[in-house]
Amino acid sequence: MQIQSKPFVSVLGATSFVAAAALLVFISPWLHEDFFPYLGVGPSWDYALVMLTSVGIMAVMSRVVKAMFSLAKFDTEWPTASRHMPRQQVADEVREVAPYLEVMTQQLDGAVKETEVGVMALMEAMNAIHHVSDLQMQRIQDSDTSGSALTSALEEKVMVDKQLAMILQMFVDKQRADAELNILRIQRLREVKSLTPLVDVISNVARQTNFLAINAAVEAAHAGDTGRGFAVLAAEIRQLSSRTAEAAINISEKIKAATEGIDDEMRNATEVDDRNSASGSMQRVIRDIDEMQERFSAVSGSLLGVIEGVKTGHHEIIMQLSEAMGKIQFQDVIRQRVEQVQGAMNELNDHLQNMADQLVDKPWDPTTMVHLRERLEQQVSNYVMKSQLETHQTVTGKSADSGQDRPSIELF
Amino acid sequence: MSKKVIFIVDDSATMTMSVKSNLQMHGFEVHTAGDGAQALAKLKGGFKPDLIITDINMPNMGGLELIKNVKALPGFRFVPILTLTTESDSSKRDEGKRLGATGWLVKPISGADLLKVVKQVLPGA
Repeated sequence: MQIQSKPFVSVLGATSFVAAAALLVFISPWLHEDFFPYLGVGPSWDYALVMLTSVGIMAVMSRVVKAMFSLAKFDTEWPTASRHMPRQQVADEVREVAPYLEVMTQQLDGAVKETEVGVMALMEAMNAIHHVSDLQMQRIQDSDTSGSALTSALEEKVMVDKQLAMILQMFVDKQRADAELNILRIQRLREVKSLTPLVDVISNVARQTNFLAINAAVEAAHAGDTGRGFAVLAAEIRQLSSRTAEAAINISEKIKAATEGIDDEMRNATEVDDRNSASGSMQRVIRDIDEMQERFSAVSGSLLGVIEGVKTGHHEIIMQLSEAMGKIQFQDVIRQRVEQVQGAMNELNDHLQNMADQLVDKPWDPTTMVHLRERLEQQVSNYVMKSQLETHQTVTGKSADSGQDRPSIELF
Repeated sequence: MSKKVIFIVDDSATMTMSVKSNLQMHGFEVHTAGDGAQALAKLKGGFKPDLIITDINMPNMGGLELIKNVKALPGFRFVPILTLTTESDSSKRDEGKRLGATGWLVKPISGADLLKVVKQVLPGA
């Protein structure tokens, strides 16, 4: 501790000198008669050592006196160089803590409000995201409904078309079968036409038989009575050949009638058959319908996949937004902790103002004064969160009774 | 099927909006009040929600007092009431249970957990 005032130094110096001188007088005989002779120190060195010793003792004594003065709680004002702040000034400085703390409290208020504004804006944005996702979902569901209706209608039409095609195919097949039967019949009729030469043969045979019968009748006539029987036989044969010739003509006419126009009929039947075989394109139509339906099913399936993907994505968006909304609750926790700190700062201000009053204005009553240490302990009753208790315990090193750990979610 | 109605009581605007948005996203109809006194006035006015979620430390009327008053209203005996609070004092939790609270939730609570609890206490939700 450096004391600079001159009067004080003078008093200190004088006191040190007196003390040193007294000490030297007291120990001088022993120095000159016993100690120095024992060390073998001569008279000239004797006096020099005494001087040096005197100075050393003075220095030590001045230090001792200084220490004694500082312990005596020296509080007299020295206008020219005081080493402590005057009491009034201390009180004034402490009173300035009030507006200082008020500013800091308002700063904390401002900070909390800014977090509140920011968090509200963030939640508005998240709600907007959810709204957009909802609209997308609605559009997708409308598309899904329209698409499903279109798919059902198309499937129905495809089924009807296929049935129609199958009926047509059956008709065509029947037509074809009938045409083939017709051709077969016509072919058989053609074979009947091939009988015509045989009929000619029969006619020839009948004509020749007739000639033979005529010759036989002539010979029978030449034979007289013996040829009478032969003449009758010849006449019978002539009748027979005549009937045979008539029958052959009849058959020939009938064959002609039956086979008349058969070539035209055959041509027509062949053309019909060709037309029927050309519309095996009905099979192609059915195949085309099937292919179209398969492609449409593939596209529908792909579209359904997209719709399902959007639905899953929408659900995922909701879950993630929901989690984010939960995390935003940190702002309320911060607000409550800051409010508790603001309360503690106000209490500290009250305490300091009270101390300032007791320093200069009011009498100090130690029995009514609440120490800051006690106020700090009382803060424990203001805590609501476990984290606040833990912070208190960490800083003060004292165990705060946080009670039994209870679950964060408890249904009764 | 009509939407289930949930009533949120909290003096924190951000907390109210967070829980309200979360529940609305999952199809609930949500109403709010800023403290216990406002909430009680609304309930006495004829509003009857399917579930009440309330904070504990609020100005004008706290959550515990609200629970006590709500349970005394005619027709509200079986309406479930959940607390959603930073309060860690076990004695207050026990008092809440004694007054008729259905459950005690500590802030912050995740969106999924809140939804799970709401569906548990609201049959048909």
